[in-house]
Amino acid sequence: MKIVLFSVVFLFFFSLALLLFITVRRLLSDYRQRRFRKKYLEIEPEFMEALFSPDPAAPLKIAQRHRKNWKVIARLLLDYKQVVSGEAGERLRKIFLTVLKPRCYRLLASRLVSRRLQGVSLFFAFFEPEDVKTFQKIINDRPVIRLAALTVLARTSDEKAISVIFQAFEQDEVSRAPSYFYIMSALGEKAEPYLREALRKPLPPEKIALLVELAGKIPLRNLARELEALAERPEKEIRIRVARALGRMADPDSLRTLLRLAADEAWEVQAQAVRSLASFKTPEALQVCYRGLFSPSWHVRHNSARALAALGEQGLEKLREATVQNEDAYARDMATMILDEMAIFGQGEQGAQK
Amino acid sequence: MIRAFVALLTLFSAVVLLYFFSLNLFYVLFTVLSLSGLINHQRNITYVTFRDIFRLPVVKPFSVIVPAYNEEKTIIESVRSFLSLEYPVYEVIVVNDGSKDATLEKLIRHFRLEKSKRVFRRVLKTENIRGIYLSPDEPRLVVVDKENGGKADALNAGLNVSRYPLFCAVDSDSLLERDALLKMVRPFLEDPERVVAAGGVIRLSNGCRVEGGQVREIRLPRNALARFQIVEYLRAFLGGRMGLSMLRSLLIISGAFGAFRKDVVLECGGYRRGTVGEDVDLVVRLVRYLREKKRTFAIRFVPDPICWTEAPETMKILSRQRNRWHRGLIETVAYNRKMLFNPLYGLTGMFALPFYFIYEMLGPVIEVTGYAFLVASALLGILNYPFALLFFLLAIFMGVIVSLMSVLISEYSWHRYPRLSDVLNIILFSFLENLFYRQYLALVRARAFVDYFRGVRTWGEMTRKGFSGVK
Repeated sequence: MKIVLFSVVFLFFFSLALLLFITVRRLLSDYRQRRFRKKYLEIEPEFMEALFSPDPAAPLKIAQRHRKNWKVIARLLLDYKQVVSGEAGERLRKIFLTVLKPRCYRLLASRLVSRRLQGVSLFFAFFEPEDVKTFQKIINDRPVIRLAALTVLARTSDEKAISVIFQAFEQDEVSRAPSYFYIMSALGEKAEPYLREALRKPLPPEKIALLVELAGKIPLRNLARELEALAERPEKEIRIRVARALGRMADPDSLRTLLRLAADEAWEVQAQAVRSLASFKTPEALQVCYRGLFSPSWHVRHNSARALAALGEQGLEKLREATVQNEDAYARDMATMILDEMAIFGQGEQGAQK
Repeated sequence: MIRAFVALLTLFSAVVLLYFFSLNLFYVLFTVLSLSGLINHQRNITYVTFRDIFRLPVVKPFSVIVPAYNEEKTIIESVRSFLSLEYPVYEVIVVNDGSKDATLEKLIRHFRLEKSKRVFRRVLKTENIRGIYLSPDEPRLVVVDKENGGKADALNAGLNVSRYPLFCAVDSDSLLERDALLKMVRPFLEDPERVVAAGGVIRLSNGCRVEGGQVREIRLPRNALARFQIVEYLRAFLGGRMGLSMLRSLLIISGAFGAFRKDVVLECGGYRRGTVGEDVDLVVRLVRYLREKKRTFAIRFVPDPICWTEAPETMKILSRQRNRWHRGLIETVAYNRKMLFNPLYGLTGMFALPFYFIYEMLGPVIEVTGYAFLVASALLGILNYPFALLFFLLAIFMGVIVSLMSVLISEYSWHRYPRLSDVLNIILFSFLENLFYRQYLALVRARAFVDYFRGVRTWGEMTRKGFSGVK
């Protein structure tokens, strides 16, 4: 009985404490938000005026005057960075270097993950090549900090930074590989030599597949030969990505590989290959796509029909041909469906692919 | 006779006490895990924006399957919401399951649908499909008109017609947040080989202002019943499922909003026709199938994609809904009873399914029996009033703490209630629910056992009010 009584009393006070915590937390966060908004609206007109004033030191003076409200200054910097350039952009950079950069370094050294993240995030807009060294050190931090730091590094054209990104990709867990995709695709053509080197390394198939996809996305046409070599890999997922990437690159010399992939043992690879063949307006591509219309796999028939529709008048002629033959009802129905959809939507690769 | 009853009562009290403490312990554990999981998740998504996911070519396309039966009041708004999703490639398949009202006519008129000659693979057996319609204005929309066969049958028809490797089953009276699919696809991107299913958060749209198929302003409903359900949903989704997912024991992915890998679902036979709890049934059968095939897999709960749905605002409709949900759970546990306490099924067989069986399925029976014993003891004059009162208070505070922790989680999450008064209102209703609502639902759920054994397999009519403040 006593235990139950004590439990009730304890639970009562615990509920009360939770209730208080929720209420106070909410009141505080609302107050902070209101205060931040007020300060922002207060500082913004002065800041904007100073940004375009004839006195080059004006913005810096304002930033120093409001040094205490550094979070508002940081927000203003990030907001204005997106809309101003030239002289005004340079002034923003100066404000960052003088007022915020030392604070960012302090945040990066903090024990709290959220603070370190805040520190990294402020570098997003104002990263300088000389910061690469500092960022190299935090690559070994927690995954979330590492990814944030790599995202910042990807904004520079510094070779050392790119090499750090690829190294981290190779060493990191496979499950985090998709996150690297965003980071590495921001590198554009600068990624080519590193990508070529990485493709030759014995990385897990998931990572290789991602690199292939990346090469197709940027696209890095000079890597077509390397990708073609990967078309022989036993992993289906890699062959699918190779077929897709080669389709995006549309390099005429890759046609042979794509034709081979269209006859792959896996229907998934065949389906992707025939779809990619739509970028090659050649008689062979037309022929293979027409043959694909008679495949036992629904997906291959579907993609072949779509590819034919995208191959122009000759492809459409082939589709019409398929609708009047009686040997394969599945091919006929698929061709009829695509032509019917084209009649409804008024275009080839219809809107579902938008 | 009285002595025997007293002995029985003592034994039952001990069982109930043990049951009660273990149940609340689990709930507190799930809630604490949820809180830490949520904070972790928020940290992880800070530097990969959903706009980045949109640009990612490795993102697999989605088929959004929407079974609809007599949904003329909400269908247009819902389909508009599904068509305004931010996702690179997706299709919306509305399956009109032989509606008796003007659902199909409304769709045809609103989206200028035209009958098409679309071909599809009949992988799963379903009732006859009368026609497939496409819209020249909305190329992503496909409407399937079929004979009535129930929700599971409609979903199977949608699966047959769908073209993409991932599918998302959504209720036709729901609204999806614009970025819901982008957020939902995250686990499938991070672990494409292992993740077979993922569930998102369901929130109640009652009282909220809806505009252009999207919730524009979050408000509390005036209806008390809907407010009780808000507390329940917060507890279930933010407090419970996240924790269960972290313990790799998530077995319920709401039928209103769940994403699956189509190949795996087709392998295990799609949705089981004739069941009223097709959502929980599918997940349990998926787990069973994959365990039997000795394949590694993962089922995840993602705490940020949000689906808004309308909650019943009358006792009659609420009791029908809860009766159906409970019958669905009983059906699923009975159908998969071989998995219970079976180490072959790993954590699911040894913890998750037994948890659902003991605490979720049998819970209302134990609760109602407890009330019956209480009344009988009072009538016989053997009730220890102070103890009964203290125990009742204990139950209230335990429940309130779990609800408060869920409210706290919602404060850390997305789309918290903007006004403090709303939060305090929710807290007030988490107290009040213990006074009548909880007992009433226990009775409704206990009644589901009777209906189950009587062989009731119907869904029960669900009357829709339509989204409030729709523009």
